[in-house]
Formats: sequence, structure tokens, C-alpha cells
Amino acid sequence: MVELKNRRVRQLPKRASRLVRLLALGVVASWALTGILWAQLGQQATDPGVRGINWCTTGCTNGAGTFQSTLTPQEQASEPPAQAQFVTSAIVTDPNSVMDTGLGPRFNSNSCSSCHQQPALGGSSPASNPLFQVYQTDGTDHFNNTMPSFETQSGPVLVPHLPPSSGGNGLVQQLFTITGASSAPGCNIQQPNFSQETGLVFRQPLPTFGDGYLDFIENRDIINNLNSNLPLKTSLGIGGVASMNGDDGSVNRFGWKAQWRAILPATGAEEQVEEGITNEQLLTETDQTAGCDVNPIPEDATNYAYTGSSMTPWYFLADAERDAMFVRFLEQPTERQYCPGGNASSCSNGLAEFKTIHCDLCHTVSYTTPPASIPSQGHIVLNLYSDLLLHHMGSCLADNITQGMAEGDMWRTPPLWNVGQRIWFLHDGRANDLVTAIKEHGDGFQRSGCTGVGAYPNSEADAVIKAFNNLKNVSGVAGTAQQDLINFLRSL
Amino acid sequence: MMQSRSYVSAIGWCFPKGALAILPLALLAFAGASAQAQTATDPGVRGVSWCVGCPNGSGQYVSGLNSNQAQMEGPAANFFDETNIVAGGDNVKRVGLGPGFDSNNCQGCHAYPAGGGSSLLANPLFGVYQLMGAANVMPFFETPNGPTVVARFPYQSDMTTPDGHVHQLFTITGRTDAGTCDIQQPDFNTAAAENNLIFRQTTPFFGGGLVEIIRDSDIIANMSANLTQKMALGISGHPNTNGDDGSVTRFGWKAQKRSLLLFAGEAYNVEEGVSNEIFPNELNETPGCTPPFPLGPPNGNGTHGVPDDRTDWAFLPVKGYLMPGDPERFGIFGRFLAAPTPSTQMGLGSEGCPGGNLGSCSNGAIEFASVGCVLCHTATIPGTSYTGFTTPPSSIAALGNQPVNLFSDLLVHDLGSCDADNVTQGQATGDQFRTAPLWGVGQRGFFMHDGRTTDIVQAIEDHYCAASAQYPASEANAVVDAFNALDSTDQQDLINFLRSL
Repeated sequence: MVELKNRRVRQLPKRASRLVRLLALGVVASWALTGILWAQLGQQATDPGVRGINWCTTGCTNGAGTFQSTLTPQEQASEPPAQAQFVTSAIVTDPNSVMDTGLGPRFNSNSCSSCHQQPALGGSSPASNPLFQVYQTDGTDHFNNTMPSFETQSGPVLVPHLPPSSGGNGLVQQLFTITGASSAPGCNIQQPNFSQETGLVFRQPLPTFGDGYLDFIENRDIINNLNSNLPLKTSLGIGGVASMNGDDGSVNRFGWKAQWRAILPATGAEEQVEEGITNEQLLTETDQTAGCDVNPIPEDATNYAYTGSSMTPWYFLADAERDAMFVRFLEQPTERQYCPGGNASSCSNGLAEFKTIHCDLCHTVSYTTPPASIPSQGHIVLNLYSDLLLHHMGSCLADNITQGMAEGDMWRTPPLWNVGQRIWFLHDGRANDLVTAIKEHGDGFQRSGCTGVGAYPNSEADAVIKAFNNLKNVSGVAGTAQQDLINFLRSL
Repeated sequence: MMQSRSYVSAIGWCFPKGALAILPLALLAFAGASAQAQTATDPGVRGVSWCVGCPNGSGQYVSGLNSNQAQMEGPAANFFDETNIVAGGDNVKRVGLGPGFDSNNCQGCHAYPAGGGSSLLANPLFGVYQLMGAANVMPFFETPNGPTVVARFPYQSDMTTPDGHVHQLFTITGRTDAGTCDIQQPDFNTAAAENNLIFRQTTPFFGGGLVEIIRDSDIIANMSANLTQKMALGISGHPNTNGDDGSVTRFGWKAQKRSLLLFAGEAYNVEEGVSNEIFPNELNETPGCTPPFPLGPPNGNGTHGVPDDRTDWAFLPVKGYLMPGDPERFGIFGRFLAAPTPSTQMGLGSEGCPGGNLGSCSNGAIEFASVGCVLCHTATIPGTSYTGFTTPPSSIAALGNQPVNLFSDLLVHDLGSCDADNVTQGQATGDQFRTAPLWGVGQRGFFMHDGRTTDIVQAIEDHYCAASAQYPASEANAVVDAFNALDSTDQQDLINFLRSL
């Protein structure tokens, strides 16, 4: 080719040769210019970062973590005792009190608020991993734990599971033990040998803002939404299924795999699994090794001492009930109060783009609550940005764990309300960049280390992610579609 | 697969699909399935057929509760007996019935021989189904003198996709407190014609607070005990487990529930239609059938919305025990109910055993162990090496360190196609059931999960089932054979022993 090209040039007259050179320069220049422009337009958007940390650092309200303002005075009066329960740190045992005791024998942390605190109580994993404050002490006792390598000081709180495909049972493998505690001198159980386990999968804490409303969204509304826009969904490869409860057939809706139906069963499970506190829902220790079950069971129970007249009747309720009460009354986060760059139109346009490329087919913008027995909770429009359904997300997001109707690669569409203030994304907190998190929804984005575990269908998000990638963008510049969409998400 | 599916009729016998027209023949054939015919007779329900007038030894609270706990007895029992309506009335805690329901209170189905027990001898649903003008018809399988049974459809209408849920018997349509609600009862006749209808009767929960706290490790250790003997008899069994923490679930016919509280949450929503903080939505959300409903009579209690039942702040700051929702109060009631007392341990003298011979019951216990019943129906049997469960220390001190002679290993076992209901719940597959606790069995009117028989001898025989294309043979076959091989005296003693429980 080179020889042929050179020979042809040599055969041209001098003037013509100059003309060709000019033309060639022009072409090269235009190519270069086009390339520069193309590179700029083809750049992906940039994540402005966490609202309140990376932008809007002063003068912005959280918009999350407050109690619902329309509650009755009696309901409002429950806030202090409920919040106190949520932030209470459990200890292993106390011979003089049964309240706030029962940590372990195995546990992940020692309070609800430890993992649910960003940007306010009830939220998601904080910027600094709280487990480093917990793993060797509960404030009273010392524990012999070492920190697993997958927990990092500035990373998300991660809870490991070992799926059946890797020889585990799929359940949470609690990180720590109370071995070493002076209050449990006979306990000598060991942490799981995480460094020797291959195939561990992880989940980070979910925020709970607004869950009191999600608790009772009607099943039929969820199913009707599932069945809406079917031709469009089908054309984009989007399906989805409701996680039906095995007892009554209602739609489970809490947890990464929509494995819980309501807040109360979730708080019971979390208290037992995350803190090791047996309660009236789950009554036996997960590890019953002699010497480690130092408390009578259940450790958390109805407090009959408050049976009669009392100015603190809330304490009749077990801890799991008061935790549930706290979550039930948390207001939904506010949205689009602030927009990155201070350009409100960018966020409103971003919402339009969000709908245009059909993110909203799964991240359903809103549901409305039915009439509620707590009247102020009824007829509320919830901008949760989730259909509360399960979707196949492909092998790169699969964890190979089945929970109820959620198969190994299926996840509940996580609500996006308050996503602007979240630090880590996806079930295992693998990304702290919102743009990366979006791209991870598609099989086409092969993250480092994705081995395509299991035989799963393509991610239902593939077509939408392709549409996202095709959105016009100039990096970081508001007014271009992709950046506006990102700005909108960070305004939630 | 379809050919081996069984159908359980209203009168409770097990037939191959399509054999309804030859019920008597099938019955005869089935009764002869075991190695030998039984010769013992059932003395009948203690307190009704014998030992008439004897105290029932059931329904009391456990002894040793502290004064605060003991204060709960009255309020908890009152709550257990309260009748739910759709709306109105004088108590906000008594609203929320429907839109679909099986009965209107706990006591209706858990009543015999005392509150917390099993199905009454006279079916209480006949006093419920048309209350307040409800337009219900009684399904064909409920009979005035039969057990209270609830209905499930194993499959959805395509007869392939699993269903398995309870299909509530009645609706609130027509009731004067139900506004304009207009929904229909399920079509049970069609379901029966399609061989897609199974039943479950109510389980008693005396001693539930003890069962609740038995250690998982003890259940697993018991599963692994006497393995050689179990294997020789074809007995295995496995736990049903909770999806959250992997603990051993233990309540319900398929051991599908871990605790009384979670059991109660389901029962309220499924059996009474009272949505609550564990199951917050109505099962049928047809417009006009969900709250709010009108206030009813003057000063009546309307319903504002879902959940029907919830934590109630209206009682603050006076009565903390009225603050929890109904499932929590059910939990308190069930937790404090003592285990049933065998009649042989009630100071009744010879009257404590059918036939007036205490030696018959004590020998019956030995025979119960010798034929292998005890290998699944775990209990401490005096004079044998078999021991039952003991509770660990409990935060309710009266429940801790107590023997739990419930006559169950709390495991699920294959019982073959004759008992199969084709419903999977957790790790319990279509022919697997939890070993039913036998404490209190002397005072039960109906046996097996669907209440198919009133005769305890027949109930034993009903544990026998040959392997089918769909399911393995019953794990109880060898034990039933051993029972049938007993001489008539030992066999009768074993039956008398059971009726003394």
C-alpha cells in the first residue's frame, strides 16, 4: 500500500501535488477537529459527587432523616424513645439489665445507626466505615476480632454471604464474634476464615427513609405497574417479577432481593442477623456453641415491667418493635431542592432524559399510598423511583443467591430517592461514581474481575444503558443530556 | 405426575386422582395397604367419651410467671376471644375483618378443649359465615360436625404454576358494616373438580412458648440421634429453616414459621383478613372492599386504612400492654400458655387412663417407643432411653430449663402421596409435614393435617403410604407395620396412652 501510494504521488505534476497536499492537510485537520469534538461529545458525564460533601456543602438541608411532620402528638411523642432505640449500642450482657444487651455471639455491628447513618439516622453506609470502631469493643468488652480485608476504613460497610455455588448456604456470614469478652469467658468461637473463602459476595446497608410508606403501598398498584407499558418494556428487554410472599401472596418489597414484606419482619431479622440479638421473631442464636450463649433467650423481648400505668409505655414494646416504629415514621427524602451547579433546569431536564431513555420503566417515578390507618400517611405521593420488582441484572451483578423468588442474578430495583446523598452504589457498594454505577447495570460494561458467574440471561437494563451511553454529552457541562441526567439523580 | 396426585374429600379419605366415583372401594383398598389390620379401638376424646367431667388440663398459663407477666393473663385472654368486625363497634382494636376471611376471631378455631387449642367438635364457622348479613354460602367441605378446615389451591389455574396459598372461605360482601363491597367467594367446586383443593385444620398451640425457644442445636442433635434405628426403619427427616438466619422453623403443619409472633401476623391477615404490621395490605384490594369503612353506629369505630391493626398510640400513656398490635398480643397469649397435662398426671387415679387401668397407659408408652413412634414423635418415655427436649434459660424465667414433652422432633418428613398436599413451603415439599406434636392429642377431635379422621387408630394407619411416581414411600411405613404387628393388648395400650396425653 505504501509503495503504491508513493508511486502515485510521484506520478502527479508539481502543482497538482501541492493541491493534493493542501487537500490532505485540510482533510487531516478536519478529521482532527471532528475527532476532538467527537471525543468531547462522546465523553461520559461526570458525577458531581455526594450532595452535602462534594457540592452543596453549606446552606443545604439534608432533606432526609426527619420524622413525618403530620403525625399526631401521640405519634410524634414516640420519636425520642424510638430514636433512642435506633442509636443504642448493644453490649454482650449486663447482669443488672436485660435492655440493650445480647450482642453476639456473632455480629456485624452493635447498633442500627452504625450502618444506617448517611446522611442522617436511618440512611445508608457512612463515609468512614463504622465497623472499625466496633470490631474489637462494644465499649465494655474487648473482642479478639481481626478486620476482614474487604472492609476498608473509607469503604462501605459490607456484609458477606457465601453462595451455595461456592459451598456456602447463602446466608449472612457474620463478621465478628464476642470471643475475648470478659463477660463471655467461655466463648471461644472463631471468625469465618474469609481469606480462605472464594466466591464471597457482599451487600451494603440500604437506607430506610420513607419505608413507612412503602410498607403498605397496595399490591395491586405494584402489579398494575408491572403490567403497564408492556410493549415498550418488551421491546427493551425489560420484564420484572413481583417477589410474592409465601404466606399470603402479597408483594415483598424490602431488602436487596425484596425478601421482606414489611418493616417489622425486617427489623427482627436485622436485629438477630446483624447484631446477634435474639428476639420474639427469631429466637435462637445463630451460633449456639456452649459458653457463647451467655443470655437467656430471647434477649430482646416484650418488657412486661411496663405493663401497668407508666409514663414510658413505649418500653413495653420490644426493641425490634421500637426500631420498626422509628423507621415507620421517617419521612421520604425531598428531591430536586438543589441541583449541581446551581442550575435547576439541568435537573428538570435530567428528569426528562431519565424518562426519555426509559430508566423510569423500572425506576418507577412514583406510587401513591392508599388510605392509611395512620391517617396522615394516606394518599401520599411517593417519589421513590422504584417499581419494587425483581429484575435480571446479568452475570456481572449476580451473586448466585436465591431468596424467595429472587434468583441469583435478580435484584429489586433499588429506590433512588436520596441517591444524591449516597456514597456507594449497587448491592455490594462496588462503585462510588454514579456514572459507573449506571454503566454497571449493563452486561456490556465488563468491570474488572467480572467473570460472568453462572448462566444468566442478559441484564434487563442493557438497552436502557445503551441509550444512556448514546446520550449527547460534554463532560461536566450542564445542558447536555447525559450530564443533566446525572445532575438530576444527584439532586434526589 | 398428575396421576399420583391425591385428593382429600370432605370426609377425609385419600384417593388417587379420578377415583372419586369409587370412594368405598378405594377406602377398602387403602385401609389394607399396611401389613396387618389393627385391632385396637379408639376410646375417643378425653372429657367427652371417657373421663367425662375431668379437668382438661389445658389452657392455663405457665406457672412461675412474675407479677408483671401474670397481669397479662386477663387482657391477653380477652383479646384472644374478641370478635372482629369490618368496622364500627365499641373498640378500635376489633375492626378490620375481611375482605376475605376464614373466621372472625382466634378463639373460633383454636378453642378445644380450651382457648389456644384445636378445632371445636362442632364447626364454629356455621355461626360466622352469614353474620351481619354476609352473603356467603358454606363450602361443601365444611360440615357442622366436622373440623374447621381452611382451603388451599396447590396450583394456579394453569394447573402447573404453584399456588399453595390459603383461599379464604368467605367474604364480607353483604355485611351491614361492609359498605358496597361486592366480591365473590372462591369457586371451590371447580377447584375440587380439577383436583386442585386441599385442606388444613387448625393446630393447637398450648406450650407454644416452650416450643419457640427450643435450641436449634437440640433439634439437630435429636435428628442425628438413634440414626441406625431410624435408617433401618426408613426414617430420616430434616428441618425446615428460616431464610433470614437459617434457624429451624417449627410452627404450622409444614413447620413454616419460626415464632408465634410471625405465625400470628400471618394468621391475622390470612384467616381473619386483618392486615397488620407484619402483613400490611389486604389480600383482596378490590375497590369498595378495602378501608376506609364508615363509622357504623354512633361512636363506632371506622377504619381509616391499612393496616387494619397496628401499634396503637391512643392508649398512651396509661396502658402499655394495649399499645402493641394484635399479633404481638397473640404472641403474649400463646407464649404464656402451658403445655397440656396428661390425664395420668392430674391426680385422677385410675380414671386418668381409658378403661380405668393406669398400667395400660404406662405400658402404652413403652409400646409407643418400642414400635418406633418415638423416633419422630420425640418425648421422654419413662423406662426407656428416649428423652425429649428441654428449654434453655429464657428471658421469661418460667419458660426456661423446662422439659418439653411435646412428642415431636419438629422436623418435616415424607409421608407419601396419600397425605401429600402438593404444597411446598420452605424446605417442606408436597408430601412433607412436620411431625405433629402429640401433647394434648387425647383431647383432639380430628386428626391429620386435613382432619380426615376422628379415629386415632385410623390416623395411625393413615401414616402408611407406598411410594408413588411423584413421592417416596411414607417414612412411617415400618412403624405402622410394627404397630399393626403388636398383639391386641399392647396395641390397645398404645392407643390408650395416646388418649391420655
